[in-house]
Amino acid sequence: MSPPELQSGLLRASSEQDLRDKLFELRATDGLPVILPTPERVEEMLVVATFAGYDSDLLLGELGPNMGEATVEKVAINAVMAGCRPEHLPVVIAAVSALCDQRMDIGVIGVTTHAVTPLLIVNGPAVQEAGIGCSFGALGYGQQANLCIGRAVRLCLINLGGTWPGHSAMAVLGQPASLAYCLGEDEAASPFPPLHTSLGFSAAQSVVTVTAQSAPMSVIVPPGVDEADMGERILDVLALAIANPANNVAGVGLGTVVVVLNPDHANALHQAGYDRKGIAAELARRAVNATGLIRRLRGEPLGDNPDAPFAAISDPDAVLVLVAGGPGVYSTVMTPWGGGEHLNPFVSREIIFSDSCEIG
Amino acid sequence: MLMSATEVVILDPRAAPPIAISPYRLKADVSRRGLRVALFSNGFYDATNLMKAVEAALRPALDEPVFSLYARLNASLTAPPEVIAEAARNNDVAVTALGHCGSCTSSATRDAVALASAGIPVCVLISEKFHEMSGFIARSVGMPDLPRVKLPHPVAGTGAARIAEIAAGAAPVIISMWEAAHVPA
Repeated sequence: MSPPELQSGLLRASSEQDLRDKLFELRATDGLPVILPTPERVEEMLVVATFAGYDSDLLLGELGPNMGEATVEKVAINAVMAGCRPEHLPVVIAAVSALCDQRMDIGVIGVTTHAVTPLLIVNGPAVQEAGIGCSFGALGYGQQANLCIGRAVRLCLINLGGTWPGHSAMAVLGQPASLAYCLGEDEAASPFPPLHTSLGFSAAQSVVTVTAQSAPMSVIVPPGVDEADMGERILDVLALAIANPANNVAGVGLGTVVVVLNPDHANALHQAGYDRKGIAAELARRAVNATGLIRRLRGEPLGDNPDAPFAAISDPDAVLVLVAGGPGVYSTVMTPWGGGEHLNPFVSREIIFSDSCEIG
Repeated sequence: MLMSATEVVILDPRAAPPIAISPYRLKADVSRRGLRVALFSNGFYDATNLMKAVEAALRPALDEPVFSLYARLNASLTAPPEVIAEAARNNDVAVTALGHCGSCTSSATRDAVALASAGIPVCVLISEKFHEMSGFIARSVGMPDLPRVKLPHPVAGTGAARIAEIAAGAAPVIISMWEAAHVPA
């Protein structure tokens, strides 16, 4: 197999440090030191893409707001910079492909003053194949695959999408997860079928689901004296967190809400008779505020019926419920911005590791 | 690949947009009687109030102008293509607003580009805090010299008197941009 012919322009300097400095001056990094994308390293990375059936010049789409062309080669360059191992690349390719989907409105997500940033949720065999963390501290440090894959996507948003703080990306404060926001679902610890099977994929498929989200909010639901109501308490606490009037979603009722149940909470809900769809439906029913409260807090006239309930979740299908993290008393809620033409949805893409067909 | 012994070479991780640049070359005769002015409000806080203040500030400077307000409620959305087409058909010049946050700066700038692309002289009103970003958006959609009026920040929430003051300051700049007398930012 001959190495792919690379199309990207070259950057030259007299030392590696000069090149790292140059990349930062060009606003082509995330501010952290990068692995320099030499032609040799990129070619090695692209071998994996070739096995998956991706030619290096394949155009995955255009990344807003700058609408830079996301070719497999450009994605591979940014993956090298992020420190990705070759087995991470298929996940990055799938995630970037999802971000190029017009429904993601990434050109607007990328410039909003809100702090939302793309979250990547990985399901299926890819969790094992790419080594993606899904248990204790999955969104924290020490998770090589999660951090490198998430970082590669951020670098693509910078270098292809053109985002840069205060220039084109206007998040008022931003959030640490904008550096890397990736986790797997702990399917083995979950009492529910894998998330992606509820989105139309088979359990054998590897899938990344992408949605722009706020920072993770930890919520506490400890064991109580009466365990019979544990499931109800979990739902009430999650609903309160989602309906926090300070969240955008409490005022618009639009966009994807992500609920990450720790395995203990997931099992409690399962034992209480709830499945994923039932949990989402209950959260939509419980996450409400008085319309007057929302209007007052947003500086609007109270209207004729201020006591009428206003739902933070208008569509239960917009709630992603997954299981991840270590066991314990804490689960996690993430809420959306809710703007853009397509109202902050989620998009899933299959992760392709190999295009070979098994014969047997 | 030829390189010196001490030279380090890497691949450029960036990609430019594959969009052709459209030079902005529109100008209007603002002295004509009954100049038809389209005012586009994207619905950001006080954007429509600003547009009404702009109308009040422009009226005495023009000869019996006719104003049409195109207001929507979601500042993160651009105006629908049919609205742009109708506005371009039935007006001589346009102003879009308000760039005062990330998504609303994007939508106001894109509205202005769409109107210019439809052939109508236009300018977009942007707070100084988002002026650079507006330029980025204009470049990314292929019209880097789109006329942009830099407003003080903040505009939203400053009250009717201050908004009228800001509009009064912007009015002569708006007219000069319609006349293509501006220097691109």
